[in-house]
Amino acid sequence: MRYSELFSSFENLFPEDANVFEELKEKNSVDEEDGMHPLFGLVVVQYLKAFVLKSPVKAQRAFDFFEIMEESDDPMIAEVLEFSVLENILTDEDINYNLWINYCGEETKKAVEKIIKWLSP
Amino acid sequence: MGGGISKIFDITKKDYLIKESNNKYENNKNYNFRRDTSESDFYSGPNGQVLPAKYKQWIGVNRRNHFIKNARNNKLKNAINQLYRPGSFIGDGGTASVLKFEKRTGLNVGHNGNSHYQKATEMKRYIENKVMKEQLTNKERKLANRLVKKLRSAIVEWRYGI
Repeated sequence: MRYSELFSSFENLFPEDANVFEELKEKNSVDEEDGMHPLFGLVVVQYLKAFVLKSPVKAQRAFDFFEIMEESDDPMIAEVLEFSVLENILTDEDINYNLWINYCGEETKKAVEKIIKWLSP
Repeated sequence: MGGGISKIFDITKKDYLIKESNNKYENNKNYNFRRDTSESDFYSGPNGQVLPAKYKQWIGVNRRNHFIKNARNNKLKNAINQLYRPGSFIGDGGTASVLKFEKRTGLNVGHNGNSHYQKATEMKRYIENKVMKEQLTNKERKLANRLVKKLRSAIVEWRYGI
């Protein structure tokens, strides 16, 4: 998994929602040139809220991908997950922690525990 | 302080707590602790999490709500939301403060020692390239500039030292 291809790899997990990703990117004026943090923080998190967490199948697909990100040898990849996805969903009042935590793999759960130390979800 | 008891200063209540070996927190009033003028071992942030006393100067007031209140533009709000998490208590609660904290203390906030450097760099670029090109009020433009300045300062410090 390469850092510059993170977003397209995630997007490719959900080919049925390709138009949704385009709409979210346009709405937030964000694209690959801005980097993975704005893309995941603004597009992926909104997509999670609107579609993924309402579908157990999609949720498992997304969180399996997040576990691969967390296990990556490239620390920049795990940083995107931790600081632009997990921090977001941990502090979003509209996202129920119990709704997604059980989809997390072992490494993702460890990252969640570490992040909680610095936040009050 | 030994014997399984630690003295903790609660930054929000501006009062001391003591932590007993059974992990039960008690307000100092019950223990007449107020007269003890020795240094605290730990400082407690607004979320009840505890930092060793040597990092007490890093516990600050989260500026998120203040900044959000001053932003009507959605992209500026997005940027603030990404940079300032509710409950974050390091410095002003923003990514720039956290990056400075990581640099100066060697304590990285992420799992496996991951740091906020890349996020700070990309969010600074997002504000400069996208948010600043929006039609912003003078107040919003000033705020966006302030966010960029904070991020730039933290990034420079991370790269080149203080």
